[in-house]
Amino acid sequence: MASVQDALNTLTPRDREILLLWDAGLSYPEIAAQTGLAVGAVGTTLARARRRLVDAHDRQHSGTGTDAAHS
Amino acid sequence: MRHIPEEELHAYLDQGLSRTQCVEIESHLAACSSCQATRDGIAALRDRTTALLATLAPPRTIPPSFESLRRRADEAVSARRRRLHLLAWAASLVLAVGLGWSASVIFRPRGGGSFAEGPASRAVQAHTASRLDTLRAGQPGAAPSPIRPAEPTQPERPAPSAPQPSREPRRTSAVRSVAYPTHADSTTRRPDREAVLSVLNTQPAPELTKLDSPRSSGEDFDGMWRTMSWDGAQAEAGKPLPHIDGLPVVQIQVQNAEGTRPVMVVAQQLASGQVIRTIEGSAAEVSQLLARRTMTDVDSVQLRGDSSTHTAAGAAAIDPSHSMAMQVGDRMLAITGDLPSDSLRAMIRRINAEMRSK
Repeated sequence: MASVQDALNTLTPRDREILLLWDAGLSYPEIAAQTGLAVGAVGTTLARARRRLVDAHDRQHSGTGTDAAHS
Repeated sequence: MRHIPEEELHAYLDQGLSRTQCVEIESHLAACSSCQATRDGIAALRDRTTALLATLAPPRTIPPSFESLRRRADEAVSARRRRLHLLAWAASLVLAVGLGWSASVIFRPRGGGSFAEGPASRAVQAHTASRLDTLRAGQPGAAPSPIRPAEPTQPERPAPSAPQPSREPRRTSAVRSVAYPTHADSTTRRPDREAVLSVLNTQPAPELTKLDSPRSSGEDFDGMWRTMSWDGAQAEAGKPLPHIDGLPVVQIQVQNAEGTRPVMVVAQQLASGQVIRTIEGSAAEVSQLLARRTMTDVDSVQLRGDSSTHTAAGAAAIDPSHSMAMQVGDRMLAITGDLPSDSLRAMIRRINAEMRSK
């Protein structure tokens, strides 16, 4: 869990916020209304945030010798 | 052929696109294997992100099952019932003990047991005995009781020439040691106190008040008395009334005397509720008044000496516990009240000084 939190901390505040809002179950329009982003920009931000999170998590595990297979 | 942008595939999988956009993407995916691969990669990334973020979520609290909740409620109810049963049992035990004790007291023969040894019962018994003795004494030929009852309310005031009932037996009797007669005293005192506290009539009072109740507390006086207003009494006296400045006047009584100024009795109330009376009149009248009053007073000390023999302007202690008199020439100033003798002495000196200065 600590590694996931560390991976999250590598994200920008905006990416982290939108990723957590989506994970909480909000729809795109709701996330847009909450953050002031355009609805079309929510997908772009989410795509970037997901990739950065997984990359950061994989980097942490590869650095400790853990198998960090990337799908 | 244009491939689908990655962010649009994210939005497509997140159901963030309109129906039209979804139809376009699905029609493209059906014909584009590259975009299908990208879509599968994004779906895996999405699932992995969800799995990673799920580890951050707080541990889910699984609510207890209905069975366990019902079992817990049943236990709480049964515990409450047990407490109630215990309380009811304890209360019934206390009630039973109390009833048993009461029954033992009620059905216990009189004259025996610890109940009859209490001071209250002694007082009741002594009072009952004194009542019986009083009745016996009133009957002709009745044998005198060895214990004279300390009847605080004398049914009749004895004539001055009649022999006074002996006080010594009263003081030595056991009845004197109990406080019960106080109750009877207060019951007979009530009408007099009401009269004392009655509102003064503002008119010069044509009313004649006959204080024929021989009180034992010494607050009333024999003879024909007129209850007067302050102004009326002052006009009749021709001089300032004897009183203590600053205390409310509750009653003024005037008794005419032959060939001289009338006897004035000014009753004033202290903050404690006690009534003190200031008497001013001829020395013979006032001393006689005080003497008669003292003789009828069961609780007071006998008049010590003849106050008329005191020299002018000398203070005479007629009754150390209830009255104080001061004779000036042929006039006498007296004060009565249930106050210490020092207080009465200070009051009478103050009144005398004020009356002289006016």
